[in-house]
Amino acid sequence: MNHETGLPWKNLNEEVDVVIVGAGATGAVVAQELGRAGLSVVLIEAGPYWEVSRDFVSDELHMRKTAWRMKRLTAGTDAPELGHNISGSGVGGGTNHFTAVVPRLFPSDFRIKTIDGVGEDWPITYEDVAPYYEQLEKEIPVSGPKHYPWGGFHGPYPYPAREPVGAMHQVLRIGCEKLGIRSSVAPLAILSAPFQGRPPCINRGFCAQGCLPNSKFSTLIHHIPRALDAGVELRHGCMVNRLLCKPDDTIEGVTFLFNGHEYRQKAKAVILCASAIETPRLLLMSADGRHKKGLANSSGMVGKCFMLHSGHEVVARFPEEILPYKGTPILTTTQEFYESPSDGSRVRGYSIHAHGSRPLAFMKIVTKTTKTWGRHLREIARDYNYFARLTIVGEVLPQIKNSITLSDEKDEFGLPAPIVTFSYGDNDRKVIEDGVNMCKQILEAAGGKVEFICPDTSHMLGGCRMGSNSSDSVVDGWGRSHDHKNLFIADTSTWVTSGASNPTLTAMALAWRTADYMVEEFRQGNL
Amino acid sequence: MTVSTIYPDYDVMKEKAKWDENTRHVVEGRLKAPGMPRFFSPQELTLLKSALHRIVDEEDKGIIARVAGQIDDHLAEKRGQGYRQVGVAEEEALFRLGLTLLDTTAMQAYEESFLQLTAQQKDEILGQVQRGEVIWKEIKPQDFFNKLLRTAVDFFFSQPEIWSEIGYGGPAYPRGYYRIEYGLKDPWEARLDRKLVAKRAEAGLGPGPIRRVDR
Repeated sequence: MNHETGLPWKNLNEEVDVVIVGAGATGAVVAQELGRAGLSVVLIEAGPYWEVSRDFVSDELHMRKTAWRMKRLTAGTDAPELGHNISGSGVGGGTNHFTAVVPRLFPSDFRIKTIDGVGEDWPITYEDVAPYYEQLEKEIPVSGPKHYPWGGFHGPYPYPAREPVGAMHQVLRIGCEKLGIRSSVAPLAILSAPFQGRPPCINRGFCAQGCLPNSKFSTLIHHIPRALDAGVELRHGCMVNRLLCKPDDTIEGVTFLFNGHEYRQKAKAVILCASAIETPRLLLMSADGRHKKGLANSSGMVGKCFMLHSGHEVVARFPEEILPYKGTPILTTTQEFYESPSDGSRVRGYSIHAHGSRPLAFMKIVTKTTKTWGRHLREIARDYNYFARLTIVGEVLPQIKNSITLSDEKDEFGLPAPIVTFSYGDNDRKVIEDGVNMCKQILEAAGGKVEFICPDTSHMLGGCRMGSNSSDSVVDGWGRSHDHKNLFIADTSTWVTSGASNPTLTAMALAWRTADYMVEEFRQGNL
Repeated sequence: MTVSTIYPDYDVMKEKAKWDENTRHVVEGRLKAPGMPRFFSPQELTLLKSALHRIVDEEDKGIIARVAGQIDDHLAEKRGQGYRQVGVAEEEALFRLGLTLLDTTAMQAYEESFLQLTAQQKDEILGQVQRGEVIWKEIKPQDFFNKLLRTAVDFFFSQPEIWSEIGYGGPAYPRGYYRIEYGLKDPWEARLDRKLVAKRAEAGLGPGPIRRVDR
């Protein structure tokens, strides 16, 4: 294939076994596994095919190009900021600029209705995902502590914990120590020792701009080359705009746009890995005469129960320089407040991460919280090096009204722009209040003076949730559509609840599990 | 006297030979004087520069011209912002209409163009726009101000001189960092001038009385 143009596409006129929509965190995993199983696979990606040494630079502003920049609209009382923090574009997707924090979900996350009486239970359990967590942690490989205090996995991680811990991360550990709270080095998809030609981390600090030494895992550098070696055909710059449905309700294939022209690709099965915004959007855009509410939507749940994590930032000024630009942005964490407290003050909880800041990330917090400008803005900036930040990853409970819908406005492809509607619920706010309060206590215990508390969100989840009942969910526990037997979803849109861990590892583990299931279904002649 | 930096000897560009070539190209490109505007009219660009001087409190005409030019590039190349709230105009419209309306508002208040106002008068007008105290039909004044502020901050704090001023280490590949724990610095990082820190403290600025963090 010609990597510059994406043309010619060798399988365009063939019916392939599988079309995968989206080459991000999950699509690349699925591509590798289906390709290795000997299936013919076309992987279609809307964005560019990044080349690390050519396209990645050490600059915050420039690297915003790795965000999804097509038109999206936001609404709701807590209309989120999308952009770079939430979603990626191009091969590798969000893994190009994620902070590579890869804790697992907790066993309780899959059963919060049973345990806490809120949300829904997943149709699968932690034990269903655990083998995939384990093999993924070895494969990519994850560095982390010998003993991890929380959740269903206590280590040891395959690679040793990253060290040393930078000043901004010491702040979290010192504050927690003084308050009697356990803290740990976070499990990271960042190398602490060489792995297959990739060097250990050099503490450059630009994880969220794209790693240059390739010390940080991304599917761009890990799964994609392996998928291509296994014969997968990758088409970048191609925006899938419709799923085609046959009279018997099986999916015939997809159409996609390339340079303003529409092409068609037939497949025996289609799997959507396009994100919790783009996957429901694509299903809604694929409405036809017989499926007026969109495909896979007999339940009416496509686009419903969209979730984000609350991601409030608490920033404190310290008496001596912290130098928040150095080292891995997130390296220390506490998940001590992850589950429901016994006093009933809130249900479910949050993680707290120490979080470095480059100037634009820091100044965004300053302008959002203070609205200040002029002289005062410059004076705050002069103390940039004295600030340390903690960020929460807070659980958000599913609500029907938080949704992905289609707008009348068109995006740059001429397709209906998605509207992301999001409002926190009462419990979400209690989680935030408690989380922010805890961040303040930790920062103050470490000797800081809290100056900025900034609302933010991270991680898009839900919108095509899994469930055993076809009347209130979109896919089953394997990610298979209740309505179309050869349609699968393997991205975070299938999430039933949000948990309070960074989602990438779980998303990839679930995608791997779905890929294994598809391979077995092909073997048995069911696809 | 204002202390403009607590890192008087630091220049982030002195390290550029240690950066990878692509990064050097991007950052050096940011120091080039801008060409003719492609998105803004000359009048709009002049208004933008005039507002930027106040928004980021910077008198240097060269820096502000570059920031304005780079905002013009961003809009001309339709790089996109990725999202906006329902009911808020697109960024192209906010900038184009907002700058003209800013001038109209100045004319109504002072019978002079925004460009002719004193710094204090400009701040007064900008403050009214930020607080939504002026009535604009086409767009909400707050939406324009928020867009102007966020964009100004993004592009201004991407200028190497400003990185030097705040002691930001800047690009760091292939070199990386070795001394990252509390109290440690690599030799190429910005060195504090404690006298200037003390001088800022006299004016009630900076990190304040020194309380050491326990190791």
